[in-house]
Amino acid sequence: MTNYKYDFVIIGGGPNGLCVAAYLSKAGQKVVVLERYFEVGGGLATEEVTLGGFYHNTHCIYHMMVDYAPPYTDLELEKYRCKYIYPDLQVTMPFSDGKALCLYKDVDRSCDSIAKFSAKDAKAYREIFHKFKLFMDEFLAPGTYVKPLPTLEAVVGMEKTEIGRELSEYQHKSPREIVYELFENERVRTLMLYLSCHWGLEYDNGGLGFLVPLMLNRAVNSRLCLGGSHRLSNSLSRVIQEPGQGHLRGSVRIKRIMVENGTAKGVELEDGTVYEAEKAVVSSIDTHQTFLQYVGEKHLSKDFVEKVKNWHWEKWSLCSLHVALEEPPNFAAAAGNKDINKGLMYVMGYETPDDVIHHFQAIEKGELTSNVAFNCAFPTVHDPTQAPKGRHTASMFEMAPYNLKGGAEKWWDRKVREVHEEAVLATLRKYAPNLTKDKV
Amino acid sequence: MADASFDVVVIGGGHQGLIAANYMAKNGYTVGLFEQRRELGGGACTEPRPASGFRGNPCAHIAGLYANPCNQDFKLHERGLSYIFPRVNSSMVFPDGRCIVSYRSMTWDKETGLMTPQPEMVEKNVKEVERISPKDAEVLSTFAAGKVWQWGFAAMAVLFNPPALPGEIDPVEDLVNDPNSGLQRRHQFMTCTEFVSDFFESNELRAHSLRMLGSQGIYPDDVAPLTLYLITVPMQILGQGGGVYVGGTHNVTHALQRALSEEGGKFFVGADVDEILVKNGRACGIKLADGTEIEAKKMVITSIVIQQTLARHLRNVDLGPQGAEWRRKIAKLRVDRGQIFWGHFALHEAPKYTAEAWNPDCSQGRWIFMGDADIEYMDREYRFRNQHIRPGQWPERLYLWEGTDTKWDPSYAPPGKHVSLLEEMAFPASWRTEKEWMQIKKEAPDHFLKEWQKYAPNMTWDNVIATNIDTPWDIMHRSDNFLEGNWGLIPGLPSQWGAMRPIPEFAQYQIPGIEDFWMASGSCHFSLGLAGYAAYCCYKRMAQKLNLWKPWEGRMY
Repeated sequence: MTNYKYDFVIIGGGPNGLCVAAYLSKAGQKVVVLERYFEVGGGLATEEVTLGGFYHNTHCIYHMMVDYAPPYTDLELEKYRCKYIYPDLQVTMPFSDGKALCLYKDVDRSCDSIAKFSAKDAKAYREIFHKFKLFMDEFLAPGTYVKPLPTLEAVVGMEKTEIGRELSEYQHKSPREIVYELFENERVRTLMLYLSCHWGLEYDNGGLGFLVPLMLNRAVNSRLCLGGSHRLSNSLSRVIQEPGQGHLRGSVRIKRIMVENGTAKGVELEDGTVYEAEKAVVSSIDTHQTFLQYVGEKHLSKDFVEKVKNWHWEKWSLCSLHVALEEPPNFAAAAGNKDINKGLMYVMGYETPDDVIHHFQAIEKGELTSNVAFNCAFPTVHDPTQAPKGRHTASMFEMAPYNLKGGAEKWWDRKVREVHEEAVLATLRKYAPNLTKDKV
Repeated sequence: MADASFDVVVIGGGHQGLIAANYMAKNGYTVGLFEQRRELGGGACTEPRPASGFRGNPCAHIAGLYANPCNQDFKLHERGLSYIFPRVNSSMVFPDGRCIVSYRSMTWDKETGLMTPQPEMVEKNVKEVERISPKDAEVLSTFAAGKVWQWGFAAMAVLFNPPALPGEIDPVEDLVNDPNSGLQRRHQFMTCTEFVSDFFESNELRAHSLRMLGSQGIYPDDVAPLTLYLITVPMQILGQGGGVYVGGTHNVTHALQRALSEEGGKFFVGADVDEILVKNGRACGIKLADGTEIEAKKMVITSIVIQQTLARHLRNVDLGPQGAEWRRKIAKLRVDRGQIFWGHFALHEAPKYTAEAWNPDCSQGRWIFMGDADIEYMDREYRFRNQHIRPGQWPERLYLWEGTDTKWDPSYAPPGKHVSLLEEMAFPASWRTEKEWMQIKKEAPDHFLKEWQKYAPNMTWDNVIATNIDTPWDIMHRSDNFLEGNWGLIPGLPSQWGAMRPIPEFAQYQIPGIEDFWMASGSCHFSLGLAGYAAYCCYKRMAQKLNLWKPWEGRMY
C-alpha cells in the first residue's frame, strides 16, 4: 500500500486541525490534514440545506473574540478573503408584550435599553462591562491563548493582582448566583442567565463561575463571516496549501495512530495507506477517539486510560432548524425600535429566568419543551450574498438533549422532527409575526 | 494598474474550470481561478441532505468523471478522489415483478485509466435478456460482442475529442459509413422511440433504453444526437457506466482543487466576475463585481455558460460585424431539456424490490429504473404529462430511477441508515412561478413514494426519516451557470451538438476576433454528467495551437 511522508500528520480538519496545520505550513513544515468528512471545516460549515442558493451555517454562526484570537492576524486571514461583519446590535431578547432587551457593541446603548427595564441593572451592567473587559484583557483572553498552567500556578497567578483576586471570587459561584446578585429585574436576569449558560455552563453548578464574565463579555463580541462560516475554513485551507507543502485529504478513514516505543510514528488508514510523520502526529479530535480508538490502550498507562474514560460529555447538544425565508423578519418589538430588525443574535421564547431553568430541567429528563426557546440569527440581513436577491435565511439553535427520552434514535423519527419544527416556527412567529407559514 | 496578475485567469470553479486551470498550471503558468459562489465545485457538490448526518449530491451524482484522463494527468486518486463500481450497473424493475439486470462488463484501472472489457459478463447480460425476450437475446448475442463495443468506443472518442475540423476524423461519421457497424445514416434522424424500436424487439428493453436516455436529458419523442444512442445502448447492454463517488461528488472538486493548489495555482471564492477585459482584440483580464481588476498576461479561460459570457462578461465588447448575429443566436439557444426532479430520501431501511424474486441482484443496481413497458405511453404521454406538472396535478405514472449509495459507501448516512436518490424528468424553471415550485416541491415526495411502493413495498412513509426534492428552481438558484435549472448548461439536442455547439462559430472553444480567450465551458461540448469533456477537449485545442503538454499522445483519447 502507498506510503506518504510528512513532517506532521494532523488528524481532523475542523478549525483546530486547520489552524495548527496553517501555522506549521507557514513555518515551512510539510503537513497533511486527514479528515473523515468529505470536506474540511468541521463546524465551519456553510451548506445549501433548504433551497438552492440559500446558504446555511449549519453549525457555527457567531464567530466570537475574532479581535482576540491570534490566528487571524498571524495567518493574515483577511488577505485570504476572510472578512467579518460586526453588527451594532449584538443580542436581542424580544418579549411577548412587544418590548425587547438589546445589547449593543456600544455599552451606552446597551445601558439605555436595560434602563427601560431597570435603572439599577443598567448601572450594574455598565460596571460589569468595564470590569469584565479587564478580566478578559488581563486573564481570560491571555489564558485562552497560552498553554494551560498547572492549577496551582494558575491560582497563585490570579491571587497576585486585585483583578485576579476579584475574578477568582466568581469561581465557586453558580451562574444563577452571579446573575441574581448582579441584576434585579426579571427580564434582565432572564437574558443574562441564558447568555451565561448557553455555551455549556450549568445554571446551578459552581466551580466554573469565572467563566461567566467571559460569557457575558463575549456576548457582545460576535461577528459574522462574510460569505458564510465556511469561508474561514477556505482561507485556512489556502494558508495551508499555498506554500506548496501542505496537503488536505478528505473522506479518509483512520485505522490507527502508529506508536513505536512510546513515539507516534504516523497514521494508518483503513485502506492500508500510511502517512508517516517525521516529527509528530497532531490530533484535533476528541480524547476518546484519539487515545482509546486510534492509539490503543496497550500504548498508554493505566492511569491515563482511566482519566480518558472519565472524560464526560456535555449534558446537552443543539437542535437546529434552518429555514429559507421570502422576506426578512419584522419583529413586533421593532415598532418601538427600528434597530431590532437588524440584530445579530436573537434569544426568543424565554420570558422569565424560570423559563431558562425549566428548559435545563427538561433537558436533564431528555424532554423537549412545548414552549420552545432558542437563539436565532438572520445572517442575510447583514450579508445578502448568502441568499438569492431579496431572500433571507434563518437559523434557530435550541439547547436540546442528545439522548431524547426513548433514546437518541427518536431524533430519526420523522414525526418528532416535523412536530418540533412546527413548534420552533411557532415561537419565531410569536416574536416576528410576519414570518407566517407561507413566508417560510 | 491591475490589483493582481496571473498568466492565466480562469472564470468559474466548477469541474470544467478546475480541469482547465490544472492543465495550465501543469504547463508552468501562474493561474488564478475565480468562483462566484461560496465554494468551488459548481455541480460537483455534496450537501448534508435530506437531514444532517446524511449526504446527498444535489447535482451530479453518478460518478462519470472516471473516464476522463484528467484522473491520471493530475493523479486524482492520490488526492482523495476514489470510485466504487457496483457489480450491477443498471436494472429495470417492472410492475409485474420481472426485471432486467445488467452487470458491469468493464474494469477500470485507476493508475492508467485503461478500461478492459469482460466478455463473460456480456454473456451473462445476454442471458438475463433472454429471460425477458429470447428474440432480443438472439440479436444481442450476434451483435453485442463486436458492434456495441465499437459503438461505445466511438462515443468515447466523440466525447473526449474536440469536434472534427475539416480533414480530421469524426468517429461517428466513420461508424455511419461503415456497412458493418449496424448503423445507417437514417438513424441520425430518428426519435429515441424510433431508434430503440428499430434496435430492440421487446418493449421491456425499449423502455429500459428510453428511460436511460431520459437521464441524458431527452424524452422518448425527441430526436437525439446519434452519439447519445451510442452511449446509452452500451451502458444498457454492456453495463458500462459511472460508479459511486466515494464520500460524495464534492470530492471531485477537492481533488482537483488540491492538485491545482499543489501546482501553485490560486483560487478565490465569493469572487463574482463581472467583465472580461478585452483590449486590441485580446482578452487581457477580468473585472470583479467589487471593482477589482485582475490581469491575465497570457489568456483568459471561461467555464461559464455561453449566454452569461455574452450577456454579462462580454457585454461591453464589440464582437465585430457578426457580433449582433452571434448574440441573437446565442440568446435563442434551447434550454428546455435537462431539468430534473432530484429527490433525496433518508431511510431506516433500504428499499426491497418485489423483483428480487426474479433476480435478487436487481436491488444492487447503480441505477434502478422503475416503470412499465408501455412504449406508446412513454412516446406520446410521458413528456407531455411531466411538463404539465403543477401543484395538485401529477401524472398517474412516473418513471423513476433510484440509487442508494449507502449500499456501497456507508459514509453517506449514519450507521445503519440509508439514503436514496430518485430522479424524474422536469422542465424549465421559468415555466412555473416560485410559489408553484415551492408547492410542487412539497407535493413531490408523496407522489414519488406512491410510485416507488409499486416496486418496493417497504417504501412507506414509516420508513422515511426525511426528504428533500431539488427542483429546477433550486438548481437555477445554486449557480448562474444553470440557466433554467438545466444541468447540462445547454441540452444536447442535435442542433446543439458537436461542431454546431453552441453555434458553429464558437464550436472550437473560441470566439473569432478575441485572441487569448478560450471557452472550457459545457456550452461548447456535451456536458451532462460531470465528465469534464469540455475542459479536456478545449485544452486539446489549446495544446495544439500553443504547443503545450499533450499527455494524450499514445493513449486512446
